[in-house]
Amino acid sequence: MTSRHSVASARPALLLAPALLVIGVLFAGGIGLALVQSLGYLPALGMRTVSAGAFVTVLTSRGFLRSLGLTLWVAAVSTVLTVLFGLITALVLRRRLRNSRLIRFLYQIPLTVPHLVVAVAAAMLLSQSGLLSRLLFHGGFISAPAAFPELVHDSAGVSIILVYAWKQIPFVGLVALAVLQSVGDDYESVARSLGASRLQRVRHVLVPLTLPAVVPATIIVFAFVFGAFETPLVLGTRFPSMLSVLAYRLYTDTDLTRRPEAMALNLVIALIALVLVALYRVATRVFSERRDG
Amino acid sequence: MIRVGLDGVTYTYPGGEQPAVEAVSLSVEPGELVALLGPSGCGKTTLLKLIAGLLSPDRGTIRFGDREVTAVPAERRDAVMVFQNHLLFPFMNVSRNIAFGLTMRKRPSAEIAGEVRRMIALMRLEGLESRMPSQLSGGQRQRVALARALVVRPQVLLLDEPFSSLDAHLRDEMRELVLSLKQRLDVTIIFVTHDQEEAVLLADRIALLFDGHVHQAGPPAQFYDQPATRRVSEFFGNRNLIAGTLSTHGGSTVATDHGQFVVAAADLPDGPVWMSVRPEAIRIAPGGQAAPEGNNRITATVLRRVSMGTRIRCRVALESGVELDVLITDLDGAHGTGGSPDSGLGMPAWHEPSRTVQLQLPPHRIQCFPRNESEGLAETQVRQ
Repeated sequence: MTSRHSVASARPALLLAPALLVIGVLFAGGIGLALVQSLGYLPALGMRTVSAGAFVTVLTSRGFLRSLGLTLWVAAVSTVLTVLFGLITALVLRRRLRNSRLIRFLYQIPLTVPHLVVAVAAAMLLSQSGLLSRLLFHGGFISAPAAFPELVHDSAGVSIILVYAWKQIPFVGLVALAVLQSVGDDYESVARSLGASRLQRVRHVLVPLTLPAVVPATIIVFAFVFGAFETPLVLGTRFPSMLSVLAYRLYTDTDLTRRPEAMALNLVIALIALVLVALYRVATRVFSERRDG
Repeated sequence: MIRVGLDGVTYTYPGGEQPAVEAVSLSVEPGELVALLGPSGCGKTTLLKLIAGLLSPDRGTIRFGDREVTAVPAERRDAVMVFQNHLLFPFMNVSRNIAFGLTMRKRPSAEIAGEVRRMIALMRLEGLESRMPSQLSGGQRQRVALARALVVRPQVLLLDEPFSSLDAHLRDEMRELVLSLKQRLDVTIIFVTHDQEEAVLLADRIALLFDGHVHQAGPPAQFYDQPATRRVSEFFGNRNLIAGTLSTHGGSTVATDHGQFVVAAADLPDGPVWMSVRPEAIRIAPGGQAAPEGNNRITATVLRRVSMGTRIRCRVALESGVELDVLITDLDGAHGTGGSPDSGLGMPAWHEPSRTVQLQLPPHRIQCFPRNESEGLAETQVRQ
């Protein structure tokens, strides 16, 4: 009886074992290998001394600090824009998004387009030799294509920020919308009846109602932009580059002795991502506790 | 306190074919407690939302006192609506929920704190100030919702089936609370319910709605004594109908398959009518015995009976097959204990099923409603 019971309870674990094994080996193995290499142990290259030197080199290098700064800037600004416009579009369009299939379809388009496509499109549209610049030049709005502001391959990552905001606004918007639709219009009616103006209803009722879903979504958006690679590769400048691009460059550097630095950088990025995951867990728990007491 | 006046109010929901509320005129006096009563879908909640300003009528006017408020948005009307399922803001504790209306009005925080304390005491919510809504019982939530509405001192309080989600015991408690609030606070209360018993218990006056129209408005007793239509009478629990023909020559009488019945003067032209008597108005006596005093006597057979504690409800059949409900309330009276009690139920044997009984329908308790020629006994039997 007992043994049969324990077999039954062990079944899911057994069934999952092959998948877990593959993921475990690849994931833990990858991280482990990165850790070993980051500590300078690459026997194939004749490097056998173990030291934290690569971490020191990476963390103190001017390139890393500039990259970290740029990455935090791009992630933060695009997250703020995403959440702001995600909430605004959800609040403004919520009735239309509920009633019209066409508007719902249009609203969701950015989610379906791959990042790389959006990045290339942004480059063609926004660069100084791009479509927008040439249209403005031919329209006589700017004296030369070069007078168009530098939005692509710029040090502030403007086009990168715009691409991520465009891609992710519907994500936050749909998360907020799901909450607004599940709670219905009654909370707003109550607030109206108690004397809340339109703006007060948004600020004191609708936004707080969506926060338990939007805050975790915000952290996801930030973490995604923080670790993203292909858009900054297409639209970024060479220096400073975003952390993921810097790590890739170090990894593909012809000087193989720089491999430990690449691995150390990857581990730093992984660590920051881990912190963000922890934040996400805390945020979701705090909101569910606030609601359920 | 303020008078609420509705005049010809009509509203159709977007995409709706029939108006949800049509040409409703109603006057609620200052400090009055009025029930909007009706089956689900009759438009009573729509009417409440129109008064609250959450919907605006297609036609007609709404007045609070001398002021026309038809075009005034909900947030600037002096009416607060309490919804069926409390709808406390889940992210605010009890105090902040109650304070909401005052916070929106940007009152000084000291004043808000004082008003919230007053409401906490009034609603017996002490000790729950910092609880979240999810940590409250159903009754507590509904009391917080009432406190949140009353804290802004509205002239008109609108309640949408506020107690329907509570169990029977809590519902009684909340009804008591509303009655005591009405006495203590100067507020005109309009509440929506589908429960005629609740309406009778609480309201000074009832407005009964069917299909978006007010069919009858008046004090509760009127709905039992003088129902305006057959439908009103049926909604108030009266299924007793006998088809007949009214004649007003030399006193009002109704000719039926069971003979001639004397009725109090009816405001109807001569012709086919439904004769209706409330179950508790019918007098009943054992079959063989001397019949009860008065005219309008008929013989019937008991079909079944059920004890309702302090009353007994009998279903009887007349010779033609028409069935009537008879409510025996006078259990200790002349006929109540006639014969020996039967086993178990403690009910007298003389109105056991299949016994013959004598009925008498007091003329002044008989109401007549117009009847189409085509409606008749057959229909009555099918219906019952």
